Amino acid sequence: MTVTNICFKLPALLLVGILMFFVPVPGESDAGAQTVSGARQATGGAQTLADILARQKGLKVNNDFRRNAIGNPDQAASIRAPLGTLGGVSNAEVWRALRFGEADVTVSTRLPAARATIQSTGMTWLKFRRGPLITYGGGLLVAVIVLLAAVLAIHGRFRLARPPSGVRILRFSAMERFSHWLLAGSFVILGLTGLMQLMGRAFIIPLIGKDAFAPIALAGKWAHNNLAWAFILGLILTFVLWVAKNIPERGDIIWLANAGGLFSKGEHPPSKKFNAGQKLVFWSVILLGSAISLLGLSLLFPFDLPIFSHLFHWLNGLGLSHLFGAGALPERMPLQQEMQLTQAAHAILAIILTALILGHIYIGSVGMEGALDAMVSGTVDEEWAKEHHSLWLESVRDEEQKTPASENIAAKGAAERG
Amino acid sequence: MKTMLMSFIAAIVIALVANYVLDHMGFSTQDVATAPDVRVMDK
Repeated sequence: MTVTNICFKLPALLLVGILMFFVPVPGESDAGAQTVSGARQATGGAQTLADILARQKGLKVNNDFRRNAIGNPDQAASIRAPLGTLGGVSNAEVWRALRFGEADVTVSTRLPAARATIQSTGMTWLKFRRGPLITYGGGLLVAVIVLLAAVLAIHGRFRLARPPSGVRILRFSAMERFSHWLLAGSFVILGLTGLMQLMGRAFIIPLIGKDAFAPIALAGKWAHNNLAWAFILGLILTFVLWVAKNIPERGDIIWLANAGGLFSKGEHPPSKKFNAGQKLVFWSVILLGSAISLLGLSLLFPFDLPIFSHLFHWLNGLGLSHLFGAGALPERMPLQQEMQLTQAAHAILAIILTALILGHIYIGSVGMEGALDAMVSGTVDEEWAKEHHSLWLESVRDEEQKTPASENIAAKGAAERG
Repeated sequence: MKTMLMSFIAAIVIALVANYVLDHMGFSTQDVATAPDVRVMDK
């Protein structure tokens, strides 16, 4: 399996559960299905009152009988025969073909998506974007901020059990810090501008008006589209630099079982350079960040990089959707629907990642004494290292003993310079 | 601190270069904004 495959398929699995409810899946409510089928035969294949009522109740109606009723000129009655139609296709059949994207139309615009002249799932997407996405997505972020504020208010800052020794140890090299801040800085701007694009209409326009919001939205969109490349580069660099140190191991289970020493003052389970909590953040960032980047690229080059038809084809091949009782996922869909699914998935995953990163920002800044120093100056106090990453400190000490004294002095000098 | 500032400057430089390159490839942000179907859906 190539790296590209892994990058594509792991995030793809993550999307399955999230999107199951959003994808219009062909299916028919069992109740009355046979009766409806019989009634359709009586109407010559047209939809019945039961179909319309079911749709109004929000039930899923199998549209195959309409999708397939688009006329067949080869078997149509001659134009001279009774009920014969011009071209062998009636008006209703032409409109059905347009509605289900089956019509062989010629359009004057250059975009391939212009071939879809009717795209009814657009309303599903619009309602989802205005409703649950903003309500639950925004709600999640607000809940996380409130929770972190409550933790700070109740527990206070995690302080060192013993006073700092004054001895500084290089924890992150300049390259590691550069990669981290490239990723972090671009992510913060991408998060803020993304939320503004998603929620600006609902929350900012009522405050400042459309005229003031328009240039802000345009600038935000420019920043979002172009800073995405810095985020992707930061993601790749971070992965390459830290993947070896983030491989899960037995010690992580002990760390997690003790909740990282959260409830035992001054005592933390021993950990190497990264503890289990940091590894969880690392892999969340890599997996979610890769999926968000892939989806973002599809949005950046609209209609040129469709993802979901390929993804659903692959999932149908695995039979996963059948396991959930959802039937086959649609492999053929208008390009607009591709973009709508892509935007929904991009936003959902980005909100989940933002919620996780809020926790990371908290613990890396106001939540824990000395944590921010590690990533700003690159150095930490020896006491801090002993308390939080004792195994890493031991390995640093071992390395120092093996390395000639002159190199140690150079490393300390680099640490002091930051 | 210096490394942090350098990374922020690098992000801005990357964004400017990306915008320049994409514009010259014919993928301007304006193209995306005015994709007719997307605009209609977002109305």
